[in-house]
Amino acid sequence: MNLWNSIIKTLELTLQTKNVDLERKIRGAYCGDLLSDVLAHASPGDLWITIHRHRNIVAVAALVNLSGLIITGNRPPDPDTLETAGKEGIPLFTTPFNNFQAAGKLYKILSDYSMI
Amino acid sequence: MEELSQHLLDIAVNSLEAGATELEITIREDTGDNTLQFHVLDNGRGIATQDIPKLLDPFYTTKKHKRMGLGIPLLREAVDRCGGTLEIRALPRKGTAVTATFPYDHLDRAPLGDVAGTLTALLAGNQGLDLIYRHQYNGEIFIFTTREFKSLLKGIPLQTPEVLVWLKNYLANQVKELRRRNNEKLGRTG
Repeated sequence: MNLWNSIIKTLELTLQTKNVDLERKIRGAYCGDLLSDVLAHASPGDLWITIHRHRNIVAVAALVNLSGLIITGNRPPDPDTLETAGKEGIPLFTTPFNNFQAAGKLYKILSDYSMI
Repeated sequence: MEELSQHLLDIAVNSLEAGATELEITIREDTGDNTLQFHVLDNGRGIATQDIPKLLDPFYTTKKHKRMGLGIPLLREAVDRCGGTLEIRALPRKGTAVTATFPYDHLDRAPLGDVAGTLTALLAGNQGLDLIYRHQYNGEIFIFTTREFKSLLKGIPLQTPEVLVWLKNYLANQVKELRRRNNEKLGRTG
């Protein structure tokens, strides 16, 4: 199973964006809800776990060149967030897990793949 | 809290718990000045000026059944996170004025959120409440008052579900319209 598939399965992700291929390469991950902190400290290729669902997260993802967005706690993204993510070609997912659980599961997968 | 409208609701509920029957809520969005401001004014019991600093302490509350209150401390955090300002003032006769000002374009400024839904919920739960709601977007302004609205309803209770549904859509559309009008004006002059 490739990396995207194991993450989708383990974190029970639902891909919310349409017409966005999972072609971005995952290089790591970041977790946090203070957007300026994410902007300053996330690295290109990171998958970002957050509770936010407004459009600003797409701006951060595009600026840092993240590989994808994961919104936790089954929060539905705002329609304009989805629209912008689609335009920017950034895959946006939702998960039923909270930040802590999602980050823990993702940490384990990335360790198993010797990425961290 | 994820949206500023939730802070607005929290402050309004504080006002009502302090016996307020009149609320004035003003939202000012000024992209030229780069500010987003909301202002809540009530005619509740009010607070002594010397007690105002205590509002920022989560372990200070006037309610007997609660050990702490996080409403104002959370608002303070939302303001500080993006370098805004928070002002709480005791009004001379009675009542309190809360003004929160945020830099409009700051990344950590929470979105305004569903103001129409918040205000409708507030009116649905408080029959006697007199509300004045002003929303300003750059030069354009929209004003809603329950007094005027009730006279238009000609005796139909404001709390009727159909009325509330209509009101929520009406408020949301009026604010959308403000932005549209403003952008149109910019298009014409610019």
